[in-house]
Amino acid sequence: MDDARDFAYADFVRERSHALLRSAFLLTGDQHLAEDLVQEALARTHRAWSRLERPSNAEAYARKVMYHAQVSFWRRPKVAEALPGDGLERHGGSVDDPAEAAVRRITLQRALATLSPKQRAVIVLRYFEDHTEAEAAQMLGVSVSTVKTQCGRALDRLRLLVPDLRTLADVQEAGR
Amino acid sequence: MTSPNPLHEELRELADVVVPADLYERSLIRSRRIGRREAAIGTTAAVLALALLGSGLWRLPKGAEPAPPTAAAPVGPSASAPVIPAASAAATSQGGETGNRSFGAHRPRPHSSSSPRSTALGDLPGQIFYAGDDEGEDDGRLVRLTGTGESSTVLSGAYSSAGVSPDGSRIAYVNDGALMVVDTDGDDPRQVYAGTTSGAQPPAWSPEGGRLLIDAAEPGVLDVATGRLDPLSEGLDGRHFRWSGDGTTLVYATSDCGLEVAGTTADSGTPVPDQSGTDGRAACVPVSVDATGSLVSVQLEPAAATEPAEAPADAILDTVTGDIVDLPVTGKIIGAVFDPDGNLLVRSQKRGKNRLWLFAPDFTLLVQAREPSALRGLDLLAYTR
Repeated sequence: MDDARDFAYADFVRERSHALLRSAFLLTGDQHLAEDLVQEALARTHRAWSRLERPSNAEAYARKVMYHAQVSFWRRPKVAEALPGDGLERHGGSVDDPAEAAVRRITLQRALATLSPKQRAVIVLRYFEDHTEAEAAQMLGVSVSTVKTQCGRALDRLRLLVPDLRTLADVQEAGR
Repeated sequence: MTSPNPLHEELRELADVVVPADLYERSLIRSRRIGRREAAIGTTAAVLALALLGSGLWRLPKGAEPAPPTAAAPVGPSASAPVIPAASAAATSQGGETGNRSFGAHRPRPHSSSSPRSTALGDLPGQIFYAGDDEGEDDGRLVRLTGTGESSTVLSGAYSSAGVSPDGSRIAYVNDGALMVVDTDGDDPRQVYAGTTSGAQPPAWSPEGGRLLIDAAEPGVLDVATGRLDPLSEGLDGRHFRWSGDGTTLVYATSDCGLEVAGTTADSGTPVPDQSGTDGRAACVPVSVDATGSLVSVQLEPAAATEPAEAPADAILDTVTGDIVDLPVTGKIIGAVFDPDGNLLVRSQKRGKNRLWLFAPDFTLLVQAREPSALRGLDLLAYTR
């Protein structure tokens, strides 16, 4: 790449890699696996940089690589088996009771870990990144019907495993 | 959404846990590594092609050619063949028309027109297995069809992927990360391994039925009786691994939508010559391999597809030349699987009706029969003894 493109890529990484990392963490449940996933997505984006018509396409490209890698690549459907409880206090959420919040996060993370890679990806796309079913389907390269099916199963499982999310009964219907 | 939902908030708080990381240098290093690997593959193929051209082997007359092991091995139940040598695969892709014809001329090919020896489903030996689509009403169902024309469900319920043993007597499947094995005539599954990821590697039975190729922490071969897992060589950088019928060869997909062939104990694989370019489609997923590893049924995908999905094969590919084998089948091919002995079962669809075509290893058409309509909504999964 020439200098201008190098700078553009560096800017892109600086500005967007943490957002990618947040999604990757939800997909993998582990800081190191998330970093590996984003690193791979960024590397592929770097190699495709000259083919991207606009730098603004870079994030969409990187996210697509990331989701595909996590869902189907042969060594990729990895999720942390042990929960990184030691990292929970580093960036606490806005909650009244930190201990209760930590328990809640661990419970949710454990529940996410029981989902299949595709189900987890659908949940993150729909309920973290707020994509529509059609957008999620396009991102994963599957049909809208598959997104609906996987989403329904994932929500059923989350309701079962996360008592605080039993109010999710209406989430699917409220979704777009 | 009309109102904030609790899941969004919980996910957002969970994502707050992640620690910022500087990935700029790491991504550049990884990018350069990918570039070097791509360059190395191209260079190796070119060097091997030049070496072969320099040796003059490509000019040998047909009768005197030193046949590559896979091509020379008789295709059949007792056939055995060593790993496809790198030179043969690479050379045929680089050596031009003469090279391709020279190496491929004596390999079995379908006859342009052939009459089936039988049109009765009852003359179709072995067992055919179908799987339900995970989107339809046949969700999670695995069905067996025998020559009697009767079909029966042999596995139902939640599983993410399944492999049928070569004799059709057992099914290995993954359920919540646990690898289970159950008899097709029984209902008492037992766990043989925990911690399996199966997204890109459904359990693949070895030809003798004693081992399973699975994706645990890394792809490996599991001895079903002892539970011992032997990782594959790190040099076999792929997914969707499939055994040849004689157990000597693996065919697998690379992460960039290509295929490679390797011996089961090899440290690296040999790329199958690039199959894309004819109509923009490429073989991204091997489905089953013939007896010796010289032919593979594949699912063709748009070459640009970043991620293929599990689906039935729709073409047969020569692993030495990379050529698509023309099958004398009418209608659209919606499934193709080899049994361990190298017989090929093809499923086609024409005017809403499905047909089954059974070819011997020399492509003699043994049976052409109408498929029972009850199986229409299912995908062809396996053909076993």
